Formats: sequence, C-alpha cells, structure tokens
Amino acid sequence: MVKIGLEIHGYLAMNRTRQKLFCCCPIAADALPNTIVCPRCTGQPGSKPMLPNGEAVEKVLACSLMLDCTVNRKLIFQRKHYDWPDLPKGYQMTISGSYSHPVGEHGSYLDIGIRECHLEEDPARWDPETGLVDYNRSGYPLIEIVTEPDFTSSEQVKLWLESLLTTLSYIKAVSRNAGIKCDVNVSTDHHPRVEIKNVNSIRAIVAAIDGEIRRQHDAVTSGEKVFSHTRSPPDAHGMTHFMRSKETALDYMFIPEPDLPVLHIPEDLLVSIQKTLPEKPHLKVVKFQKMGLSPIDARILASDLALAELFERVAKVINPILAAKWLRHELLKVVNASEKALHELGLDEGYIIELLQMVEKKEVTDQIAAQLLLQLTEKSFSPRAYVARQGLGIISKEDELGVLAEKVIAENQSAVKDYLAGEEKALNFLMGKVMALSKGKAKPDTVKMLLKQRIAHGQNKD
Amino acid sequence: MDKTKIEQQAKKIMDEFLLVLGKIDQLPYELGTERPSSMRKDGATQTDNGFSSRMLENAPKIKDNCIVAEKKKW
Repeated sequence: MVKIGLEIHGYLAMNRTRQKLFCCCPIAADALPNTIVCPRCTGQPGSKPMLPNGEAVEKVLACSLMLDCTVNRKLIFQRKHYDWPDLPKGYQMTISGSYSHPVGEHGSYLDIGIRECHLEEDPARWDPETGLVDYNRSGYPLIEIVTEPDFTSSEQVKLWLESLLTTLSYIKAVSRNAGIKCDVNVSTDHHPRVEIKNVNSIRAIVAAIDGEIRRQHDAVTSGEKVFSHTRSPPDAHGMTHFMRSKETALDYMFIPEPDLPVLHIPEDLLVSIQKTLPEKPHLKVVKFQKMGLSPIDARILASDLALAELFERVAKVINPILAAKWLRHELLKVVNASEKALHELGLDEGYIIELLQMVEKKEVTDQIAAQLLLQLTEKSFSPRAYVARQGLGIISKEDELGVLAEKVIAENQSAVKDYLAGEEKALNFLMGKVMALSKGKAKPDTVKMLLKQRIAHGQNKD
Repeated sequence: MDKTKIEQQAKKIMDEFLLVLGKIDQLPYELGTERPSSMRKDGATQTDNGFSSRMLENAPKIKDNCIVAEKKKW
C-alpha cells in the first residue's frame, strides 16, 4: 500500500503590485543576481519587515477558497528557524507551524484532502554545489499547499497536479512560468514516511515517487529498516540521496513574528474575492461534454479560462460542436503561432461570432474563414463587411464552378486516370486545383459533385 | 574559548530550549500584536540602487555577482 502526500510551493503571480512580500523590491525573474535587494529582504541587522503585500494575501485567500478550504480570518506570521545559506535572517517568515492558523485548511480538490494553504516568503537561490547565493528571490511571495497523504500512485499525482495548476491559473494566482517546487512524502506498507525535497517539475515528481517506492521496496526486501528521513531531489541519474533525519516542528523553533501585527482578514474582502472566483476547470469539462463535445475537445477548451469563457459565449449563438472545432483547432493554431496568450491578442469577440455565423450558414468557405480568423488577430474588422467588399463569399453556382471543374479536368488528365483507377486521393487533388482557381471561394461539396459528374460524363462520351 | 566549544554550548542551550518549548501545549497569552492596519496597499516598486554594491563589497567572497557561501551544507 502506497501513501503519497505533497507540499507544493508556487510563486504567486503578482499583477497589481509586483513587490516582494515584506519590502518594495521588485519581482523580476530576469534581473542580474543580487541587484533587486534591500536591507529588509537580505535580513540586515536592525531592518524590519514592511506590512505584508496585500495582493499576495488576497491571492492566497483566492487559492484557499478555490480549494474549498475553511479560511481563518486571524492570521499570525511566525519565524521558522533554520540556518542554511539561503536564509540571511536565520528564519523564514511564514503563516505556518506551531501555534499558527494557516490561511486555509480542511479543503478538498478532486478527492484529495487539502490540509492547509499558507503564505510565506521565499528564501534566496543557493546552489549547494558551488555555494553561490543570489538574494534576488529572497522575499518573493510564495503559496504552500499541503495535501493529505491521499495519493496512491505517481500517475494520480501527475494528473492531479496538472489539474491543480490549471485551476490556479484560472484565478491568475500562481505564475505557471516560474514553475512549482514540491516536497514529496512517500510511505509504503505503513513504513515511516520519507520526504524528497525540492522536486521542481511534474516529470521529476513522478520519477521521484516511482524511484522512492522502488527504493523502499528494495530496502525491505534486503532486510533494511525504512526510517523517517529527508532525501535530496533526484540527481542527473534520477537518484535521491540521504540528506538528514526528518525535522519536526520543534526543530524549527517556531515563534510568533514580533515585528508584524496580527493579519486580520475583513469579511467584505473575503466576500468580494469569493464573488470573483470562476467555475473550476473540471466542472467546465463536464459541462462541455454535456454540450456534445468530445472529452479531448472539452479538456483543451477548459485548459485556459479565456478560451473556455470565449467558447461559452460563442456556443450560445453557434452550434457548440462547430464553435469547438473552430476555437480548439483554428483559433488555437493562430494563438500558438503568435506566441501570445489568447487574452493578450485583444480579439473582438463580436467579430469572431460574426465570422463563425457565416461559416455555419455556409456563406464563406472554411479556407476563407481561416484566413479571416488570422487577420482578426492582427486587426479588428467586420468579417461580413470585408467579405462583401472583397467578393469573398462562397461560390455555389454550378454553372460558374462547372467551368472551373472542366478546365481542371482538361489540364490534369493523369489525375483523372488515377481517380478512374480507384485512387480517391486523385479526386482530392483535382478539388484542390478547383479551390485554388476559385481563390478558396468554391463550395467544396458542389465542386466534388461537379468533378465526379464531369469525369463520369467524359468517360461515357469516350 | 575555542569555536568548537562555543558551538557545542550553543547547541546544548538550544536543545534544552527545544525540550522546554515542546512541553507547551498552549501559550498562556494571546499571540501577536494588534494594529489598525495589517496589510500593505498597492504601490510602486522601489530599488535601493546603492545597496547591492555595498552588500557585495562587504561579502568575504563573490563570484559572478553572487556571494559565495558554504557548499553542500544541508
């Protein structure tokens, strides 16, 4: 029997106030080492912390509510003591540990218990191999989410973490680009738990769990005792190594932070945050599937809040399956090519709907619509007016298309022979030629019908 | 007094303190200081331009703008 629990650390995505937690130094991931520092975040003697960054507190509250936690409204920062080179003060300021009430507790997300969510400051970046320390990161606001040991496999952890990150991205609470750091606790067959520290990607977390399950199994098989301890993150060969015996809360000597007042969460702040919380992604997936979407389309559309909400609005006026096809395939292709997020493109939703209505009514071909969609990401215009002005409306008149079909048949006799010999692909080739001649405006179904008709007619004549 | 002896004494004091601390189930007083304001409002970032160079000048050893600290000390 395997039990796995996670302690997930994520960088809070600060949008309004890009300041550190207890000082006004900027949050800038790409700055030169040790250039965004001040006496406060480097723990110089005599320095005192500023009040905590209000936006960081709000983000942790939002995360706690999204994970169905009970929120504590009286919060006390504590000093968590340890003496590594990454911690200039000798203690980390955190809303966790003995005597504290975490920001959120007793939550649940996708059947996994959330023990607590709390806010804390990040230590510096320290490379134990070289000894180099960069204090730029010292004091960044971090959220720590601690789960109950409810996981039973690495695959379950992987899927859950991916879903969690999507959920937290919905409320723009955690910076996805900055990644996550995880402490992974693994216990097999009721042996004491072993912790693997600072595992920094989902792939590495999966490898660490599988490796630790194997290691504990091998240890027991060879007659060794599994004891509670902390191991290093996996090295280049995927191996973890003994670091130290497991700390307890006592080892950290938690004491209330005397330089910070009690953090009171006003009821109206909590209510206003609750009102802004979106529907959770996994609930959107269920809703989209009920609208007729395939599981994969539903999952992809729900993976980004802007995309999911755009789909919901478009699907109110367009057939949901058609809307899903265009947003999930064509729009995402354009968004990915732009290397921007959907919300950064400034798309006019009204014009997207107008374009898809024209597709639904077969007023333009898919080919022309795809071109217009690309243009809509570059500038805002009415697709309907543009199509009328440029004469891009679909050509469905058989006499017009018949001329084009006959021309293509006359110029591509070898493809005609291939088609007659049973090669269906040859007909697609001929269709492509007609579409090109019509500049993408020919109605594909009509073209196909006319080509078959004309080829059959030619054969009868012969 | 040599460094090792001071370190041993310091560890002994801390260990004793830990044992006492561990016996406390509940603190006999209300924790934390009360103040009218407990969160910082939104504001612009500030950089202390001279501080970085002063800090690095005072460091015993630097490399690539980083302070060189202990290696492999967990």
